[in-house]
Amino acid sequence: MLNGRLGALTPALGAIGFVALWWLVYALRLIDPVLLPSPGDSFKALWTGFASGGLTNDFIVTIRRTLYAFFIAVAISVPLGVILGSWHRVYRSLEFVIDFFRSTPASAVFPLFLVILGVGEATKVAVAAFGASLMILFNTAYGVMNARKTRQAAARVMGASSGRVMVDVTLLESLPQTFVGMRTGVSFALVIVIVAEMFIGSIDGLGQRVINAQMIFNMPEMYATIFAAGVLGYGMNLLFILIERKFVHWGGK
Amino acid sequence: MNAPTPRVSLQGNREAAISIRKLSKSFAGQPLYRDLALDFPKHRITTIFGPNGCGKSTIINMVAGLLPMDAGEVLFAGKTLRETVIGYVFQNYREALFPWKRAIDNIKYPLQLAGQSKAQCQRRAEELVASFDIKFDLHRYPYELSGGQQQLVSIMRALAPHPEVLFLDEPFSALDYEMTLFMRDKLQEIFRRRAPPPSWCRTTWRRRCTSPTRCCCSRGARRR
Repeated sequence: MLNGRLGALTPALGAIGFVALWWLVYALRLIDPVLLPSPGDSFKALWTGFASGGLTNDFIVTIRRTLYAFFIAVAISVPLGVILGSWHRVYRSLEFVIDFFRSTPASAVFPLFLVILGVGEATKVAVAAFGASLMILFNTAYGVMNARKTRQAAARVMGASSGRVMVDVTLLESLPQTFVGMRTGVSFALVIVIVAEMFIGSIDGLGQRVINAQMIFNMPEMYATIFAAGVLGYGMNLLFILIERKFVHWGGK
Repeated sequence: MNAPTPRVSLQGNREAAISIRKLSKSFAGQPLYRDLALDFPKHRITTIFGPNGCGKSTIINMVAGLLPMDAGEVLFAGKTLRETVIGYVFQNYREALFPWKRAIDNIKYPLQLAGQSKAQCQRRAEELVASFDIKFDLHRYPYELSGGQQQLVSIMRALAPHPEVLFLDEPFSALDYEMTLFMRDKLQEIFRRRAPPPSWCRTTWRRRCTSPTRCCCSRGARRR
């Protein structure tokens, strides 16, 4: 009985404990309350932010930028990854370049994109798309390259042309890996968009809201915005996992 | 035991299901087959056996067009591979079935490739289900089936387009003993019931020949 009820609560225990600890630290004044407001104040700021529309607006703007970046990255990288993956020699010759730029912190290329595209919407989306596309690119290419030879052989022996093998087998074989790339890509795009909103003259977005709250020392507002960004990142990841399970149900099996 | 006596003619033997002429294959400079000539009889089960690495799978993969030969020619009752319908059952069923398709759609896939209509595919699938006396749900995905069930689906898929030649590459090696016995009986039954039966070519590491079987020992140079 008790065990069953506790069992259902288990996943929430960590979150409850975290808020309880926060409240305890606040109640004992272990940290200056100006720096660490109570959980109640922070959640109230979150609520009023969403209710008044200010936070909602920034939330939507950030989602929009992240999704633009993501879709641009997918549109470029998935077809390119399939081509590179099926063209071994080309991939081998480009592998170093792809690996190099994938390992380069995307924030390091901000100034470059600023010079080329100026201080506008385009720069934020472009840098995020750049970073995400490299992740999607190499994952897709790996998926295509590591497509199981037996399955391709099975289709070939049944009389499938190389075009049919590509469409019916190789592309589907690469899909689980492509989805891994898209999931990491969208998380990465979100990180870059938020950083870009903080430092590349921005008038809206969650990143800009966090930095503004920090500058005027509105701590509840800052915590609320950080929390909203967390919800966004977690939500996007969860959404992708659900889409993945639906579309590539055979992944890992 | 009684290795078929090769009747060597360059045109190949029209009476044979498969005739191999002047086939050569080497791996890393080591010749495995040199000027091989071999006829596989029609409507018979031919078993190729031999120790590991002697080229059992290599020869059926070359005949089925999955592995390039260095030289030589293979004809199926006088026809080329492209003009012949073949079936192939892989050793590793887990990697041979398409996990994104339900079992039934896996079975229909070769029929779709051949351009058959939905109704034709459905009819043929029902025929196979009846002849194999399938009791499990074919609307599941392969990964939801047991190993034996998966291999059964692979065999049904290979038989779906009425192949003239069926290749089985150690088809039971990944199954447990009981399942192996069941599958062997099932296949023999299907083989006997169908007229004319397809020509079968299977590989095994054991020499175990039952009645309608002809055996052929792979004596190619060992790779190692």
